[in-house]
Amino acid sequence: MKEKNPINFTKLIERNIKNRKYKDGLTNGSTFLFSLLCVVVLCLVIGYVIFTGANYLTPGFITSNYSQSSVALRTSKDFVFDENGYDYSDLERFEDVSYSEKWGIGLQYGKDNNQNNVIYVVQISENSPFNELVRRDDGTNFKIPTDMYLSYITVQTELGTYKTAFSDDGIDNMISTLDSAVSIYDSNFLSLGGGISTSLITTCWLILFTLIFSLPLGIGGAIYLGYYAKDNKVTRIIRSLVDMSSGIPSIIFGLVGAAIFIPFVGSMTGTTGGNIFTGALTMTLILLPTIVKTVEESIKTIPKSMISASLALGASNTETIFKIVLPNSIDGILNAAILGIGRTIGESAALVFALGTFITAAPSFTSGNTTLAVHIWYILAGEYPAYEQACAISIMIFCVVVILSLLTKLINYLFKRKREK
Amino acid sequence: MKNPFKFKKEIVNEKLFNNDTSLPHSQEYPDEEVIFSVKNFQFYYDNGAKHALKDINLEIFKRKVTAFIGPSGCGKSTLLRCFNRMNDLIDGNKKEGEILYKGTPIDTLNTIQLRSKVGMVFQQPNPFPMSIYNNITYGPKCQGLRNKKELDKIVYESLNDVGLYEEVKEQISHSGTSLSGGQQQRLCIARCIAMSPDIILMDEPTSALDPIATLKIEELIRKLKEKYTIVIVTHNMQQAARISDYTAFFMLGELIEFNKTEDFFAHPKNKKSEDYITGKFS
Repeated sequence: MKEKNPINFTKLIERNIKNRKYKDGLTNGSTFLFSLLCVVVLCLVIGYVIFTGANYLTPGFITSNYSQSSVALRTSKDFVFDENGYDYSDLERFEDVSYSEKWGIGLQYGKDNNQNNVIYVVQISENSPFNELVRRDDGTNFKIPTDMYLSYITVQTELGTYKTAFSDDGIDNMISTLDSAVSIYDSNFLSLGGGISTSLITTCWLILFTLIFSLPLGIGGAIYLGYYAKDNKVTRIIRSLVDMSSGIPSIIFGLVGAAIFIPFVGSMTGTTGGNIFTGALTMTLILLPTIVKTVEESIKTIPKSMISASLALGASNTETIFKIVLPNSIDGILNAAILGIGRTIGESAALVFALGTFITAAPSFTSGNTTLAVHIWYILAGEYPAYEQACAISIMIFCVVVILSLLTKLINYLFKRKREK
Repeated sequence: MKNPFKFKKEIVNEKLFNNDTSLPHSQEYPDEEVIFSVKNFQFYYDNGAKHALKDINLEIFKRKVTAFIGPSGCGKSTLLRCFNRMNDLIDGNKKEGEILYKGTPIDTLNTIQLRSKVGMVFQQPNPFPMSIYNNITYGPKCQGLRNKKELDKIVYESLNDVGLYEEVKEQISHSGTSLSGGQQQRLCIARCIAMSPDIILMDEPTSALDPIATLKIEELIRKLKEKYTIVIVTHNMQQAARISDYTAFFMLGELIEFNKTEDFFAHPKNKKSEDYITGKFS
């Protein structure tokens, strides 16, 4: 046999070292590049949403209704303008408010929910005829609410002609029109429309009912799987079913909600179509796997010896569960609840069917409603997609989700510290 | 062809025969009062795949300390856990023969009844993550005792009995897990005697403790002997010699020897016991 030549590693390494350098550089560079790309894309998305929506996220947007209500007012039929009869000295004058000395009112620019300039009646003197305006439809006295803006005003001039001033034409035009008038023939006040108050309140109710339905069921399932279930085929099948059902697209749950829960709740309460309860039941289906998994994980971290000690002291299984297992898995239960809240806020597909897409004037338990996420879908699905408002809602959802995930981290940290003590 | 049923029948007959010839230890020690008697007891894990205890005949005497010793995996802990039916919790367990508690087969008793009479102290100190007070009142409260005065009395007496009262009286509402290891184990013993059991089963109670805490527990066991029957599993032969009255030596699931402790260590009857004591195997 021929003697083998010993391999000269020193030479090999020298030759390879440059080659390796390039390879390593390429790998590291691409990894860095891709992670950078992820961060940039994420920043772009969040940045776009925040820059587009931030201006629209006003208190008025959050507190006002989606539908706009209007009221038409005029001076009463027997109104006679008394030029010297009114004393408006009770009005405190501000610089950014324009005053009509003839009528004793102060007008100021404000924004509606589309960020257009609109005119608000911010001050009315005690003696002003504006206090005696009546509704055009039934002639009853109407006090001008502070959250309604003046859309247009039509007045009768001294010559007997009619003159109309629109909000869009500016305050100065409005004041000069008013000053030339002897009576107000028509004035239209509008409430801020396009707001999300109903959707916001409905979302809160939906979260509450979803948690009421899903937590007991989920915790029960988790106790069964984590405490009672023997490690056999049936348990493994149940466990893998739970795992699998967390991967089912939510629209399928929405379908089930529409096909089963709407008739079911309808037969019990006499409602037709989706409402908060059908929505909550559907969300319960979606959340159950998550809750079961989270709570079960938490139950499994309880030392076996603690459960043995409880049983050895003559406690029954029920007592052990309520006194040892549940109090020690409270962090898991809280985490599950928070995950559930986050999921409920973000869910849209299933709720389109199970809850409805009706943006109503007031939250209702018996008829269709909508949540914030479906609200976004609704305003984007129309003929004129309102991206700005959608972004404003998205910011709210972002904020809630961020707060919830921080809360989860805090809870985990606190419980970890408590355990380590 | 062999008939498998016939073969089984033979085994049964053999067992009956064994039963007739086995000598209860109470005949050897007529002065003692028997609390637990184990008769022809067999125990299997994994649906019968692992034969953990083979034909055990044994008696536990009242107000005595009985030590179970033997190499690892010899079944001493298994037998201990059979006394309060903690082994019932393990999947795939199977048992034959019977254990009598004061003449009643334990399988006919309710586990809650049995476990409130047969307390257990575990290898690792395992106080509940709640206050010392609640740790001790856990058992009585589970049995429905709600009277504050009685609970207070139980807490005081139990802590006093284990010599912990003076040490923790200031921090009775602090968490049981904030105590040192030795204190935690004594708290577990206090929690156990709060139920005023007949028997305390101890599963290597000092193996997780330092020598000083171990000595304290041993002292405590000597004191508790006046009120309670104690069965202790230990790896430490010196400990068995120091604290026990009777010693049972197990090997590979069989009871090799049961004897008075001084006789067991001075003149073991069995060759295997002698080998074990002298350290020929461990």
